[in-house]
Amino acid sequence: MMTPQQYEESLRKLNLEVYMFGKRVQNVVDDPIIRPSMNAVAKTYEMAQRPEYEDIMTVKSHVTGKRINRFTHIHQNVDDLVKKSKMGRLMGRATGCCFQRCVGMDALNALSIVTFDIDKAKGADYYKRFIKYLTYVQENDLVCDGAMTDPKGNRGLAPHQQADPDLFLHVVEERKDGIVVRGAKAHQTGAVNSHEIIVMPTIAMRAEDKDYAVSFALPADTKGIIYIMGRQSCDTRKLEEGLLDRGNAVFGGHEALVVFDNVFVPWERVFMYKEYEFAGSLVENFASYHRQSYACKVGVGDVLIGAAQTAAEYNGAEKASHVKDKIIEMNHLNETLYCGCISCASEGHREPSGTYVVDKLLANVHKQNVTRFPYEISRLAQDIAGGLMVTMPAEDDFKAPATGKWLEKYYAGNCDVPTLNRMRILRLIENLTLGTAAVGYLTESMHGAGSPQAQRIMIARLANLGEKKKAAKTLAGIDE
Amino acid sequence: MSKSGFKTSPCTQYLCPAKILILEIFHIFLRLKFSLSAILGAIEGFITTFKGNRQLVVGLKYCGGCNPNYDRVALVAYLRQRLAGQIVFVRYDQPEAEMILAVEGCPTACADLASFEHLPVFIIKRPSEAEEFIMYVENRLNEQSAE
Repeated sequence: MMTPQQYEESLRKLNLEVYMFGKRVQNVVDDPIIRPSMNAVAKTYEMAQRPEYEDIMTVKSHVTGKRINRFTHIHQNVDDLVKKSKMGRLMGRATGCCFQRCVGMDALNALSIVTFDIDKAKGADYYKRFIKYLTYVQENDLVCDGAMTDPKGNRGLAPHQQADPDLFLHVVEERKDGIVVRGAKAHQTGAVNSHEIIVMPTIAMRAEDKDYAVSFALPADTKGIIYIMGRQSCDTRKLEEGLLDRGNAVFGGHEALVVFDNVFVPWERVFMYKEYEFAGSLVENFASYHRQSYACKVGVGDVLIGAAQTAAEYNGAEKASHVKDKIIEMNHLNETLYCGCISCASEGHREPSGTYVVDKLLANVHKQNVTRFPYEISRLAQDIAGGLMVTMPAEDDFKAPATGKWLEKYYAGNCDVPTLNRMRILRLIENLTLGTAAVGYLTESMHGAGSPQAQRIMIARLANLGEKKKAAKTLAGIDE
Repeated sequence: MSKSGFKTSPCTQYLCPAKILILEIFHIFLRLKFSLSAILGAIEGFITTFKGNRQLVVGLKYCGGCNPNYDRVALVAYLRQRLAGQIVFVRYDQPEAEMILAVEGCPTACADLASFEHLPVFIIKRPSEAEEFIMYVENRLNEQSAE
C-alpha cells in the first residue's frame, strides 16, 4: 500500500490536462484550490497505515491474498459490506468532506458482477480482463474515478436520439487493437486526484443505443481526456492568506467535467462493448453500491453536530432546552442515516461472481433519506449557530489593529472561550452548510448517486407491494 | 610481571606440573573475575526476567474505530504507562505475541479476531475494562513467576 507521500508523488507524475478559471492548471497537486481535495484522498492512504484504523481501512485481497486498501477491494462477504459503510463514516468524520475514493470502489465492485454475468451469457472474456485490471489497481493502490454520469442533453430522448450524439459517451471507431470513444462525463468527483478513470454507461439501454453501451478503464492522463474544474461556493477563499475563513483549512472535495475527445481504449481495458442488455444491470449495481456509500454523510454529520454543540457552548446556550432538543434531533437524523447504510450492507447477498452486493431496496431507501436529512441537520446547525456565521467579518479584520480590538470585544461569547475559537467553529458550520463543503454535504447528497426520483423509481420497483397487500387482506379476512 | 598484570609466584618453577596447572587455573579465574561477575549477573537477570519481572509480549489489535465511544489510542497509552516494565506491545501479527489485546471502540466489537484462535485474547470494549486487563496481566505474570 502507498503512503500519503507516495500517493502525492504518484499524482505529480501524471500529465493531466486540467483547466480552471479559463486557464490550464500546470501544477495540479499544489494548486491552492485543488490541494484540499488531494489532502482528503491522501487521508485514505494515511488512515490505512494507522493501526487504530486498519481493521476497517484495509483487508486481505481475494485475488492476491495481500493486505490492500479497502477502497480497492471486492466485497467477499456481508462483513466487508458492513465495514465499507463504517469506513464511509470514519472517513467522513476524519475529513469533514467528500474523500472521493468510494466511487472507484463501487465501479470495481459493479464491474466484478456484470463482467462475470456477460461472460456467462455470451461466452466473452471480460471477467478475466477485469480481474487482471483489478489486480493492477490493488497492487499499485490506485485511486479510480468511477465515471457514470453523461451530460444527457434532452432528458426526454434516448442516447441515439440526441441532436448531438456526443451527449452520451459512445464508441466512434472500432480498431484491431481497441476502440475510440467520444463524449463526456459530468460532475466527476475527485477526477484530477485519480490515477485511473473507469467509464460506465449512465442508463439502461436498448439495441438502438448499443454504441453507447460501453465500459472501460484508462489512465487518467490518457491523450484526449480533458478536465474542466467545477466551481464551489467560497472556493477563492483558498487563495487568501489566512486559514480561518476557509472553515476547513485542510480538506475539501472537487468535481470536474471530463471530456473524452476521441480517446483510444485498448481492448484489454474494455469491460463492456455494445452488450446493451447489461447496461441496466451495471447502472443498477453501481448505483446501489454508491447509494450505500453515502454513509460518508453520517461522518460529516458527526462533524456538524459536534460543531453545533460546540457553538452552543461557546455562545453559552448549551443548557437551553430547545438547543438540547435540536441537538437530539440532529443526532436522531444522523443515526437514522447510519441505520440505512448498515442495514443495506447487513442484508447483502452473494452474486454468481462471488461478489457481495447490498440489499438494493434498503440502499435506495438510505440514499433517499440522504437527499433530505443533511438539509435538516444543516438547518438546525445554522439555527443553533446564530446569524453571526454569515455576518462575521474576515480573518484580516480580526488581525488588523484598528478593527481587531472591537471584534474581540463585541464578538466574545462565553468568557472562558477565546473569541477566535468561536469564529473558527462558526466558519466550520458555514463551510459545511453553505461553503465549499456544502457541495458535498448538501447538493451532492441530493443528486450524487442519482437524484431523489431515481431512488423512488427503484423503491417502487423493489417494494413488493403484492406481499404487503396479501398480508393486509389476510388480516382483514378478505379471501379473493 | 605477566602480560595479564598478575604476579607469577616465585616458587612455581619448583612446583610439579599438576600444581602449576592448578595455579594457572586459579590465575585464569582471577583474570576472569569481573567477566564472570558479569556473566553471573546476566544469568541472574535472565532468571529474574523469566521468573520474576518477566515482560508479557502483547499483540495489539484495534477495531477500525468508525464511531468509538472513547479514545482507544489514549487508553492504550494509559496501559503502557500503568504496565511499564510488565508488558511489551507489539503488532498483532508478530510471532512473539503471547496474547492479543483487542481494543474495541464500542460494544459491537467488530475487530476481526479470526486469526487469533491459537492465542488468548483479552477484549476491551469500554475504558473501565482497562483495570481488568491490568489485573489480568499482573495475575498472569505472578502465576508465571511462581512456576
